[in-house]
Amino acid sequence: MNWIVFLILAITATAAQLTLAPMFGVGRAAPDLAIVLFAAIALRTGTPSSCFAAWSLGLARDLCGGSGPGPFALMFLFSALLTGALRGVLFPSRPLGMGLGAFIAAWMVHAPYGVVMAFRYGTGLGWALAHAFAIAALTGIVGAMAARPFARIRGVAGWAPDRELLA
Amino acid sequence: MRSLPLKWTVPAVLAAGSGALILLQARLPAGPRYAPFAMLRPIAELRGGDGEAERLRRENGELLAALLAEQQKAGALQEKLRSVSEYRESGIAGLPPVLNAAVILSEDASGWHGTVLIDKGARHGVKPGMNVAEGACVVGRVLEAGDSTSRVRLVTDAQFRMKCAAVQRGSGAAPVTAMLFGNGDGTCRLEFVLDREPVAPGWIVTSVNDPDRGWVAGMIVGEVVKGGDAEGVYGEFVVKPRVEADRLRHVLVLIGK
Repeated sequence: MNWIVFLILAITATAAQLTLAPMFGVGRAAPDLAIVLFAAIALRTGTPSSCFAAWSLGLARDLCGGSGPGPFALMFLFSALLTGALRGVLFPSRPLGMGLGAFIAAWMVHAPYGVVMAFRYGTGLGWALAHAFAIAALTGIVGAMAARPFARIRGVAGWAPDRELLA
Repeated sequence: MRSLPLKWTVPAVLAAGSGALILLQARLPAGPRYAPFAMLRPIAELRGGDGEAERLRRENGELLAALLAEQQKAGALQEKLRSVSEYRESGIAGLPPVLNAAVILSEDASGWHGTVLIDKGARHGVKPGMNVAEGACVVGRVLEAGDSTSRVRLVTDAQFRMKCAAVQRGSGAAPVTAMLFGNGDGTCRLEFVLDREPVAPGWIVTSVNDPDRGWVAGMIVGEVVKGGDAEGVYGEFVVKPRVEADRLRHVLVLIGK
């Protein structure tokens, strides 16, 4: 993977998450752009690369939010491992495959975090799961929309083409 | 000896690193972590737009002047009180000085927390735990202070707690003390209010004098919008905060004693 391209994409995704994503939200839920990025990477690259990419995106998320350092880095890492297991099953250059991958990755990050918030701070489990689902759904939609642009920069970013995923 | 495959060592090391970060959260210095946000300070100026920032700055200056006048009055009262009794501990003596700050980012990236980033940090005297207000309304508490930016946890955040009182508007009824918790969904809730207490929608929730945490009595948190129909000893009350995060432009950090 080309790490310079990743760095540019990671900074763009983090900045867009803080500024643009809330504009496309429903209620308090907004699409998670960092997850779209690491889902695309996890579905196209090997485990070490995708894990490191997801972990660094999660750490950036932790530093830009009120969660404190650590929780999102860990959740992004686990989610990248699980999403990576779908490599060769979901094809990220197709909107449906990328959308599903982003939805699953977002659900794996936000549902456990919501459960922790509900049990530790009494926010209400139903609301937490509904909020996590809304974020995952919006992320899936953005993921589907991002499939084609990501497929175009695949060569520059050093991600594997679909035919290699089948090998 | 056969080396471990990279496929599993990288995730294991990163997971261990994340675990260490979570466990050491309170000991990690916030200064270096908040340094990059200093670059965003010009955004605070842009966000006002069309003279809005100037108007708000003037308004804040007027509020600040009014607050200082009130502080002077309070100081005089304090002197009087001190001369006649030892009643000075009752709370009027502690109106804290304030620091004007602009909100740089009013969105939290996580999607779960309610925090805002302000353009004042440790170099301006901001410390974690200081209280933040907008005029007479409670905004939240400083979560972490970097060198020149800080993050403020809003009253709606799920991790926010404070002592408060519910008072009936235009009535001489005694206030009902309670604990205020953030719900994480843009509202707060009152807890530990006995079911027999007459708290109802329309009641105003205010801060109570809490010298340990720097709160002065009478700052407005919000209004009770729902509740009182719970089964059990304590009622469940939902509070809509007076301050909305996405409309915040300037805040006052209560520097405290």
